[in-house]
Amino acid sequence: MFEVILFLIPSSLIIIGALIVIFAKNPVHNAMGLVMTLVSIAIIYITLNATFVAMVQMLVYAGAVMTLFLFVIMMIGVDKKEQSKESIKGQTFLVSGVFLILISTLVYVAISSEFRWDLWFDAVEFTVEGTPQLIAGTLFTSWIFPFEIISILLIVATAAAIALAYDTQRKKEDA
Amino acid sequence: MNNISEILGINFVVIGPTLVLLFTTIVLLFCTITISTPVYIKKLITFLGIIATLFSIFLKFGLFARDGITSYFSEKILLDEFSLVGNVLIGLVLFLTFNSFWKTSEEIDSKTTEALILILMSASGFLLMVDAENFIMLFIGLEIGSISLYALAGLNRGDQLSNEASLKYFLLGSLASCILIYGIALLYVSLSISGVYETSIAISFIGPENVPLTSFIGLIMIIVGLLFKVAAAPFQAWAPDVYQGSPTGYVGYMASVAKVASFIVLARLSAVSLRFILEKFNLFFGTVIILSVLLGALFATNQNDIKRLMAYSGVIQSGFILSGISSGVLGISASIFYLITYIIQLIGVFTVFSIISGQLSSNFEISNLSGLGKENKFLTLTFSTFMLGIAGLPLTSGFVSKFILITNLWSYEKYLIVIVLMLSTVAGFYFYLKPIWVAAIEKSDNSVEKIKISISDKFLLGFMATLTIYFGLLPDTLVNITQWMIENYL
Repeated sequence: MFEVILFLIPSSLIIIGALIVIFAKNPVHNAMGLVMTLVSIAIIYITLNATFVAMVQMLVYAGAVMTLFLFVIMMIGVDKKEQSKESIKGQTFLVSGVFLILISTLVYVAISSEFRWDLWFDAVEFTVEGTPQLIAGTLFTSWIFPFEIISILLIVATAAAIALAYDTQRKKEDA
Repeated sequence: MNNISEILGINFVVIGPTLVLLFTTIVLLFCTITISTPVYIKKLITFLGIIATLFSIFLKFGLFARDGITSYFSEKILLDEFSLVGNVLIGLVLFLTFNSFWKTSEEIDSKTTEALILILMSASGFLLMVDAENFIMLFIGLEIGSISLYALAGLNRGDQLSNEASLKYFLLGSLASCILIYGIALLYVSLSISGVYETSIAISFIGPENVPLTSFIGLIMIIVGLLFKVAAAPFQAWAPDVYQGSPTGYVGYMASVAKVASFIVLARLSAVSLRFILEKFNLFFGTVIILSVLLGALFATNQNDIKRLMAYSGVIQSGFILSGISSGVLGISASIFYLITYIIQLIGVFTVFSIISGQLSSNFEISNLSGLGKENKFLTLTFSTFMLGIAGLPLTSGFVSKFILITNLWSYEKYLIVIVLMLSTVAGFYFYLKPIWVAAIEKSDNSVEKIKISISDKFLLGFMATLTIYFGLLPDTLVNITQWMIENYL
């Protein structure tokens, strides 16, 4: 019973957050709805015993990515009127068609499997104590080289960003 | 300590080239941030870095001669014939394009160091990609290489076309990376493997007949991600715009290095991982080859911009190289021969373009070449050699490579592909000879003025043109190298 409650509360919060993202008029409210969704997903990860993934979810998505979103919203300006004009021809029609197909596939799979939820994989009793230790164990032994190499990726991304962004700033100073 | 590093397989010789390039970039970065260094010292540092990279690639041969095919860093890095040839080719590309990318970087003043860092880093990324045994390692290497190339394409910020090229390359390239990583995940889900050799072991263990559908889809997605980088046909949409928009001095490097790394990885996949199930991909590869050869020839005929023409020609050549790689081990040797001769001609052609039209230019119409032969005999001669080589005229390496490839395909009984490849070669003569006609033979009033060529450019162009002719007359040294490459996989 306790597990069901632990599942139901965050999952309903996820859906409410997603609905806020879609329907709220104010962009800041949209962003906050997204934060709600992401945090609730992190709670579900914890109930599934994946503490490391939950922490990464909180730090990266709810922390860093959402801050970026808010930065962009603040830069563009909150009070700007929403542009709800269709930019692609027949956008509504296409999206609703894809949505209908998705829903009907889901319903078909659910009905044909007689509402069993373990479609492909059998339910397993899988309890691992403390995933961070396990991840660190492999990450710092057999995966040490890829782990270190990612630092080159970071340097490259930084250098690329500076190389592309630097020029415009100089021009502004000149003008 | 020693014991642990032995268990983990840590070996610094095998990643030597990457480390040297990394060290060079850090020295360059240091020179820029702290002390204001004169430009010629930066040039010296870069050049010495490239020479040291070539030397450390040479050291890997010694390791290979002692230990044979071995994996290092607990099965993340592989040292085999493919990685050695890939390393040498990438080092060669760096060396041959050094002159043009240096001059381009010098012209983008205030961003010289950034450009150099991006180039050296992308080379180190592609070196890692060629060395990778694990697919995750391959992905990281590919990303390091591609992200630098995305930025290089748009480095000329004042140019509209350059910005467009960078954005287009970035968006489509990220999509291809997504497909690649999704394929790796699917393969891992279906067989719990993520390595080149692990794949072939797993397939031979469960039997080629029992390979699950998910792993097939995963493998095809990995191949699609790599085919995107070489601009084979259904995935070629980015190539013309990127070639046209990027600074001309960089295009030779960008095109050749991505092609080398992706084709070497594809060759290893075909020789090792897909060894037992290669026939099941015949339909997929056949479609890609025929589409790229036909679409490339179709679009290349009505291009006015010669850089776009070279992009579509690249699509055709990708089809050619892929046809050998997808047919079997002997075909791989023919394909590597083709690849080596093709990148030499490609770099040569783009060096000539960058000398004629300026390093940073984006547009380059065929009519800009008119009357080139009047004043610039040397440029016209080398340009014609490279173009004839790509077209596949006898006495050039292009003819020999096409000949070896098509005889191999014939012995694999792939008659349809042979016919299509021959047809596209015939069609190719039209659009490869047109620029030569405009440059050398056609009379025009406003001919290109005499262009001063530096000694190093002259040396490099002469070297590449000589190689093109030499491999056309005496191909046996290169054939022996490509034969040595596949000996263990027969």
